[in-house]
Amino acid sequence: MLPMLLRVKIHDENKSFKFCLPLGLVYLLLAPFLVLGAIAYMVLLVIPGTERQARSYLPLIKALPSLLSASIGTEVEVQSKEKDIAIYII
Amino acid sequence: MSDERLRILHLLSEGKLTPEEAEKLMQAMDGSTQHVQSPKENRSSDVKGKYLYVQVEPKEGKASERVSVKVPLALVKAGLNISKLIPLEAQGQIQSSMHDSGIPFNLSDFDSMNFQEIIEALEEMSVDVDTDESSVKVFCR
Repeated sequence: MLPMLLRVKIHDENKSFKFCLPLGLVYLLLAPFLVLGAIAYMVLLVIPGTERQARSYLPLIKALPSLLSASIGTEVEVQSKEKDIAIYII
Repeated sequence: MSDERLRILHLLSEGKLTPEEAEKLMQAMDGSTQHVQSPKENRSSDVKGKYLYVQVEPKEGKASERVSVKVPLALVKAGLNISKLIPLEAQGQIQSSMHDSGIPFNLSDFDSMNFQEIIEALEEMSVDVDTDESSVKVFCR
């Protein structure tokens, strides 16, 4: 399952704000680029000169969503005197 | 069948052991075998729920930042898995550019055997670095 939420907390001396970014929307926004990429990849598969090289990248492309889904649970917190920043991938 | 089992069966056939005693011994052997195998099974088990932590704590009175990074070990595992899927031509380019940057690194060294060893080593890893400014801890839990 792909990560679906990105939580960001920024705490300043004067103000603080937090927001949740639904990654589903980001995936939707990126969907046209994915479609274009898929079409370009299919074209590369058809061209005889690049077919072998393009085919060798297929397992890598297939494995990329697993890398994304493995990132669920990642947390980054940075606290300094001026600012606190926290990022969570859920 | 192991030697111990054969010996128990032999003693049973000779009448030196009753069937109940033989059964008890067999069960005890099964238990000890499972006990021996379980740590290995645990080690090779899934990395789900395990995290790699990097914590930077400033020393008292120092103004440096406090950093805490928690990365799922599954992400490290997925990254290592993906490194194996990189085509050979691209691997060559990656290795040469890393070598140029002073990091001799061979992606082809990651076979399935030492891949598991890397994950196991990461699970048991703990690094503590103490400087005047801050202390850095890297560990898995």
